[in-house]
Order: sequence, then structure tokens, then C-alpha cells
Amino acid sequence: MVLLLIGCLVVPLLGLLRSSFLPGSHLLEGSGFTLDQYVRFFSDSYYTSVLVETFIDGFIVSLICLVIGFPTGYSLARLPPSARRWRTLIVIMPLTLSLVVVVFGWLIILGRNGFVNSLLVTLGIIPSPRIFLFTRPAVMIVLVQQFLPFMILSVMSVITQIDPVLEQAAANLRANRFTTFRRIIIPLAVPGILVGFNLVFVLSISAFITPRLIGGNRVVMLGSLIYERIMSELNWPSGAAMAFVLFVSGLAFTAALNAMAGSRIITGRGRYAL
Amino acid sequence: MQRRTFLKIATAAAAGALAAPCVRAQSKKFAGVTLRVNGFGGAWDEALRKSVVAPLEEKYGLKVQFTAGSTSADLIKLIANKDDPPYDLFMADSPYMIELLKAGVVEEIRESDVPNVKRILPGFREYGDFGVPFAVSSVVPVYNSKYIKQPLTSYSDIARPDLAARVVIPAPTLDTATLYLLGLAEENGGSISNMEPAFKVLAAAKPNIVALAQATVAEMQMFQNEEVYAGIFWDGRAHELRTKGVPIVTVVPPNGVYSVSAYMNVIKRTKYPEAAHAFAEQLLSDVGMLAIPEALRYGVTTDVKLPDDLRKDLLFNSPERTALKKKIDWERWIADRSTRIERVNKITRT
Repeated sequence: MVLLLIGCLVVPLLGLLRSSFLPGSHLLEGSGFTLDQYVRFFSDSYYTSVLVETFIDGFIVSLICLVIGFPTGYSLARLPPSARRWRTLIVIMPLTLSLVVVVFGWLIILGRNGFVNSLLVTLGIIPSPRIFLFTRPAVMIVLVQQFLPFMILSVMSVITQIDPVLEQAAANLRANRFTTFRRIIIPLAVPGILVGFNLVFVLSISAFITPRLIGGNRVVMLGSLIYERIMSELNWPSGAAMAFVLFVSGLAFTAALNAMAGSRIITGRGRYAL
Repeated sequence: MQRRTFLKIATAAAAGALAAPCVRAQSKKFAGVTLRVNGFGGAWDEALRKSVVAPLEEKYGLKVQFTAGSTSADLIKLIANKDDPPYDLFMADSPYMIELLKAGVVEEIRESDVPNVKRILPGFREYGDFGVPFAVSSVVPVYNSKYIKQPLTSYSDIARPDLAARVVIPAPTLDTATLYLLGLAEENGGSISNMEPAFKVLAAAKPNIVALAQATVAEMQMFQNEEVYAGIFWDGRAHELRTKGVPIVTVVPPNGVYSVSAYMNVIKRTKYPEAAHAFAEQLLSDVGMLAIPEALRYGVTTDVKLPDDLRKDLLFNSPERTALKKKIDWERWIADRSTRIERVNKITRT
């Protein structure tokens, strides 16, 4: 397992780190050491704003997934195993489809003559078709659809471990359903929420196909910029530097989030204290 | 006749009948030779098979094997295997020719080897004696006449205020499709070494631009689904849209048209240089030259006489139109691509 990690994660990461310090804008060959790629990234407001927006988008997508995914995961967890099996399969099903197929489906749904526009025009909500595609909200909607199963499954796996007796005990102590949910379920489900949030966040900030196709190259996320830099411009040093910035900042963000949530559980402080 | 005699005669007759085509094929000049060519795939390769490969096989017994793939990947494969090249002929658009020449993997094609070279139109052979151009694609303004009543007349018209949220342009990573930027520059006093005027027009056109298409197919879908009504597109693809019932009008900008040529190259160290020259000769012949225009409505590069039904569909269909084809410094264009991509991204980002 350790060898696998070293071979498949650590070595490529070190290679990426090394190439990010190469001078120039060429393929991977070359020698030298420079901080130019990083200096250029952080001194250009375009790149830093793309980084910030990528994180904001990732956070919003994770939050929406949590809002939709938590009740779904909870209800699935409380179902009898036989009923849960089929519903879980439905949740997993979108993950079995190719991302390109999913994205092209959304291109049709969100198009000017697509289902959403037709429905809204028919219901009289909008007088004429609007542009939904190639906008930031459209990118977020598609990202939520893609990554929602990860949140649902993470929450569900934790909720199934929470003994329903605890909820009954809370009810006996005159706690209403909201209080039980707030004081019992959520604190105990925090590990699952964190796992789901981290997964969705990391997947969102590194997305590149969805922003390129649904965003029409106008909604820029750092993942698509890295892809473009390496695959189209063949500028590995710059692409590697961007990838490393995304990797480190993503890691720092999730680590800070986990540390914050973890300390609240351990110290018993905060509104979700046990 | 005895049974045994009958069987002997029948067996000999059958063997003779079966062997006859082989014997005939062996007698042809390039019998047993198979040329390997990188393919563009789809209708493109199919058209070449029909109008170039089939006559060569019939006449010389020459076989040609197309391997469809992306030119950039095929190019890397070719450069990495210079000593034992995986292709005998290599198809590449104008910008890729620079890499081919730098790598020194292609042979010159002279008139003495391929007589039809003399038929190539002036200004269409951009790299001296290297490669033969056999099709030309132009990137031009287009619009849907059902919705746009005031015709577009130039590249700069994409910034017209009445086109708000109705325009698509190719993504900046597409080297050839982004030639429209050169059009924007030169129409507004700029040049390949001064692209600022183009970026100014692009910034003015930003409210009009709905998307930057990552691929030709994606752009076609946008026009078909009426997501956009105007933009910059390939002349051949605009014709394809018309055949699908979309009333797309191709604009011929009076200040010049920006085009890219498809070249066929003979690879150094090919085992069959003579057969490769025969292929190039057939490609530049009347039948070969009309292959791509008939299938995809891209332009011709020789003095071939265009049939009337084809002439009306082609952008370069007269000497006056052909004279509009702009000369492009491809080396400079490719050298500036990173800067160009970054500028376009910064301007068009929402």
C-alpha cells in the first residue's frame, strides 16, 4: 500500500513540483531552477482571481450538495436495507455514465430551445427563452448534479451507524424533531458531512471538462486553465505551478476546515457540541 | 471423358481463375506496395479514398492505408521515429508544416517528380518545395439570415451592438480557427506584430459573445440549436449547416480572407518515394483535387475547372475571390500563441 502511494502519488507529485520550478514555457525537458512561474501566477490578478473564484465555486457547490444530500442521505439511511438497496442504486447510477454524455445532456436541457426554457416559457414565468448555458450558475448546477452522490453516500454511511434509539431517547426527553436533529443527528453525522464536503469540494475545484463545455470557455476555473496550459500550450512549467498552487491551497483549505470541525467535536464547544 | 481427367481439368481451370487477378495485379507498377498516411478521419479520408486511392489502386495496384488520429499526436509519433518513420505520407495543416520542417522529416516535392505541382495556384504553396497543398479552409464571419437582417460584412462586425448575446467565436487554443483575430487586427490598422486593435474589438464584442467554442462540432451545435445567430466559422462547415437546413450566410470580408491549407508531404526515408509521388500527382489531378470540395466544400489549390454546382458553394470560386486570400506568417502566429491565448481568455472571461 505504501509502495503504491509512493509510486502513484508521491513520485508524480515530486515530478510536478520539480517541473514547476523550470524556467521558460516548454515541454518537460530543460534544467534550472526559478520561482518565475509562481511569481507570475501570484503577481497577475487574473490568475489569483481565478483561484479565488474556483474556491468560491467549489464551496458553493459543496454547500448545495450538503443541503440536498443530507436529507436524502438521512432518509436513505433510515430505510429498511431491502428498500435502501434500490434507492442507493438510483443515487449511484449517474456516476456510471460518462461525464461527456452527462454534460452533453445538460447542453440540451439548458439550451435556448431546451427543456428548462420551454417549461418556463410554457408556465409563463419568462416571456421568451433565456441564456442559461455558458454561465456560472449553469456550471454550478452541473457540478452539483455530478458530485451529489458523493455527499449522499458519505452522509448515509454515517447516519446508518447512529442508533435510532438515540432519537427515541431524545423524544422521550421532550426534544422536538428539530432539536433532535440539531443536537443529536448533526453532531454525530459531522464525520460523514466532512468527508462528503471534502470530496465534493476537491472534485469541484479540480473540474475542467464541465467548466469548458458548460461554461463555453467564458467561465474559467483553475482546472480548465491548467488543462489548457498543459494540453494546448504545452507549457508544462506554468501548468505544473498552477496545479501545485491548486493542490496546496486545496489541501490547506480542507485541512483547516477539518481541524475547525474536529476541534469543535473534541472540545465540546460550539453549537454542534455533543 | 474419364472422371479423373475431368477433375484435373476442372481443378486447373479453377486455380487459373483464382490466380488471374493476382497475376494481373503483380504486373502493375506498385503492386504489393501499401503507403501509410496519417488520416484526418471521417468524410475527409473517405473522399481521398474515393478520388485518390481508388484510381491509384486501379491503375498501379497501389494500396493506401489511412490511420485516423490527431495531427499533433501523429506528428510527435513521426518525429520520435525519424529513422523508421511510421508514415510514408503525412497530411498536415499550414501551422503544423513549421514543426515538420524544423524536425527535418519531410522531403521536397519537385515538379520533376510530380508534374501537377505546376498547377498549384500562385501564393498557395507557403513552404517552397515542401509539401503540396490540396485543400484550403477559410475562417470567415457567418450569420443566420432568419434572425440577422442586417448582413455582416467584416470580421469586426462581431462587435455590432445589435448582436448582443448572439455571437460565438472559436476558442483561442484553436490555432487556425483564431485567424479571425488577425482579421480583426488588420481591419483596424493592426498587423500580426501589433494585435492590440484586435483585442480592442474583442473587448467591444464581449457583450455579444455567448461562448468560445472548443471544437468545430460544438460550434455547429450552437448554430443548429439557435443558441447563437452569428460568429466566426469555417466556410466548409457553414455549408454543412446550410445542408442541414440552417440558413447560414457566409461572409466574404472585402479586406481579405484568412485561410489554412491542408498539405500532403512525402516523408524522408520512405521505402516508396515513387509511389508517394504518384499519390501526390493523383491528389493534384482534376479528380483528386475535387475530392475534398465535393465532400466538404473546402477550396481547391490548383487551376482545376470547377463544375458549376460546386463553384456556387465555394468561397474561392473566382480569381477575384482567390486574390482575397491573405498571406500568413505562420511561424510568428505560432510563436505568439501563448500570449494570444492569455489575452483572449482575460478579455472574454465573465
